[in-house]
Amino acid sequence: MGYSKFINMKYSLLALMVCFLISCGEKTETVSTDEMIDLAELRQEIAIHITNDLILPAFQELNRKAASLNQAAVNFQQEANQDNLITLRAEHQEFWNIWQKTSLYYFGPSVNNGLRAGLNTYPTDADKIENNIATGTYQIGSLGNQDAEGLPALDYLLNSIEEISPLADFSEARLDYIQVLTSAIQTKVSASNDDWNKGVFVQQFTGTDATGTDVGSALGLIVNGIDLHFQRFVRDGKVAIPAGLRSAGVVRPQSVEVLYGNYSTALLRNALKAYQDYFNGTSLTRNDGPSILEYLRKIDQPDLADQINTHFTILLEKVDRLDPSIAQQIEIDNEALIEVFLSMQDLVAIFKSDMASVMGISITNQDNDGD
Amino acid sequence: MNRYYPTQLIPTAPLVHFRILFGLMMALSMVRFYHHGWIESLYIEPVYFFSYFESLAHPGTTGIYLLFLTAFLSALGIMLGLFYRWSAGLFFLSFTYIELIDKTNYLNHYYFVSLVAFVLIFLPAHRDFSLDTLRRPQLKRTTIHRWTTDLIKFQLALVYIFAGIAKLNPDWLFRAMPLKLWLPAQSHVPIIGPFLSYDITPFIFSWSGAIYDLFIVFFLLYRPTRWLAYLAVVGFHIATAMLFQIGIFPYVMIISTLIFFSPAIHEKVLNKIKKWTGFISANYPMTKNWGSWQKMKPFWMVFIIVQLILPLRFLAYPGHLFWTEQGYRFSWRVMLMEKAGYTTFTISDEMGKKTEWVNNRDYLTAQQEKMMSTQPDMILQFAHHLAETYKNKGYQNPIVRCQSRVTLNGTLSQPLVDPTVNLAAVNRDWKHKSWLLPFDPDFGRKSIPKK
Repeated sequence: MGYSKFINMKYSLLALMVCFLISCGEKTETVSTDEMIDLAELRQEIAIHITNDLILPAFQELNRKAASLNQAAVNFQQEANQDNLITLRAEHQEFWNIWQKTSLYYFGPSVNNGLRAGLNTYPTDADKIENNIATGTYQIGSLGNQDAEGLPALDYLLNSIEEISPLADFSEARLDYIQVLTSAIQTKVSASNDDWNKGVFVQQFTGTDATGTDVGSALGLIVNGIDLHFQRFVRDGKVAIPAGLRSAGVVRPQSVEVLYGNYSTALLRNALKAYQDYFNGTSLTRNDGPSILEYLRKIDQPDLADQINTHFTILLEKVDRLDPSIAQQIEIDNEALIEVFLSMQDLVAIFKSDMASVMGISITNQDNDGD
Repeated sequence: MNRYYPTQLIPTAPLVHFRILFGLMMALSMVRFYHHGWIESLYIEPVYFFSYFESLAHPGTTGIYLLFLTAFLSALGIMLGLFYRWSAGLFFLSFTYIELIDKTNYLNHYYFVSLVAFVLIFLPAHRDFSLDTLRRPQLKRTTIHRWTTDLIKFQLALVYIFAGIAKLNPDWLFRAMPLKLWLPAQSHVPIIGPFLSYDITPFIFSWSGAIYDLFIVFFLLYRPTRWLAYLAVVGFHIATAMLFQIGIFPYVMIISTLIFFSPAIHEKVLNKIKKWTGFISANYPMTKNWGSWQKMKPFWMVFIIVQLILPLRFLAYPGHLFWTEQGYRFSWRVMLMEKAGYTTFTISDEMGKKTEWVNNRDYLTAQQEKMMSTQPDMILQFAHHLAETYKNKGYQNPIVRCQSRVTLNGTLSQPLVDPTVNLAAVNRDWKHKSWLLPFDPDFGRKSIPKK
């Protein structure tokens, strides 16, 4: 290489470096002006993303599944053979799993229609179910009949039978009752799906209510509703109560979500995964959008954002080590369940105090003076 | 001209205006309280109350409504100046009783209202433009002693200046906390919303808020700056009303600070109002010896000194004030920190068996749980209540332990209470709470750079 070429190289290298530095500088500048985002707008975008890409598709899927569950029950009613029973059981289990993806959005139309209570009241009352079948006198959808309806009731009807001759117990009355239950489920889910997808709630929810942080705002409803559901129906319902933590240490395996089938842990896992997806904004459609995680980063709380995901990971790992049936796990080693409970408490603390606190989400609408 | 300052004569008008506006505000606030359904949700629905004095029992459902009705009617009585001293006394007693029922509902401005109501009992605010002077014209006075309005100005000065002093802390000044969390959450508010997302805004608000609190009273007292200062008062409080859920406090302050205007202006305004309403009452010759100042002076001195000392009692305790809250209430620490927590309790019998995790919501409302979760005295009080409850459930000498995670001004949540301590065995007293864990201010936050 000649001397002049070497000089040229040095200069071109220098020029390259200068260009690189300038472009870096420009990038930093673009990043810093991006930092000045309108948080009100971001809150609205998050509300829209969660609604359009998580809530609405979940309800649409639930609706489809409710229809196919009912169809399977109708098929079984018309011809009570082994194949139809297997299909019906599969549909039931699948629906129950899909329900975990929708139940956490515990506000708005979900609460108004009594969807959760109609679908998933447990423990179910086996005697009441038998009585309903025998006498034929009951009122579907009434408060008094909730523990003889819904998915746990179907669990009893489909999964509590003798394996040796599984079809022997299915009298006509029983088949009718099963179909009545699935039909009721379909009606309720369809009504909720309509309310969510076609009703007026979403308009206001993603419109005027979406920019604020008070109790009635979109983020307020989401964060508070989700927190309530997590505490009452995931932590307490699925884990704490069966593990005896609310009953002086006396375990209550009869209070698990799935008593006769053996897949209660899978339901728990899917519920937790739904929470993680909600937090990370992992959509059910192909659309991307901002999430609560991003919001935390934007308000300068990256440690909190990471901690939440870490807690989810730890919790899911503990759940994965459980027996597929929580009732079984209680027999084997209740301590493992208590470990899961303690991990859940970590998450509740983070959702309820850390996250709500730094985001400025109100928990109540009382006057306050900062304390 | 009387040389002795406290008994110099000024027109009655400023006190009259204060009485009318204060009475009106209080009556409206009772209506507002009722309208929101807060009588029910705060005083009837709860099954347990964090009372200040066990002896001051909850008066029952009828009793509560009676208390509120009394407060409402006596506030009207204050406003109208009807059986004024009785009205003021009844308002003070009923309002204060209500506030003493549950620590959950403590607000600095309720404390302010109680103090002002108490002071008003002893002030001659009904001596003009009132129903009392209509039915008993001999009550009328065209002049009052200066100390009467000065006492009210002192009450206001107390609030502002101590609030300002409270803001002189590292979090407020150097981290712009908690405004750094609160302001971005309000970026949807009209007009000022867009400015709230800038990084510099919380610092501007924090510093100007502290300066405002510390000095506004002096600008109000100094005649040349008075009008400008009042403009600042209105602006400041309207801004806080738009940004925060603080109820009627801003409006109470806006009308109360009118007392700083000169008695001459007040007199002019009152005369116009009298003309407009056709209010005529005869002037009686002033009798001597109606000044209660000499008699009451020792009492007022003690009153003033106690109020100056009370906000400083936190100095008697170790630990971080915002964390341990020993001496936090009744100190004018308004909108000073963002604190949230998750506090749970486990109960075991004395052998450590039959462990149960308590569901707070079985005993407390959401609002009560929220307040209890971060305030150690309420935590201990609730722990004792749980111990009692579980004794009745058959637990011998129950052991009560607390798992408490609290975030303060944007830290990651840390344990507040030592989870190994049996709170049932801890006495509730004025001593330092040694069962609290220390606070790490840098946990999950950038440290303040040390110069």
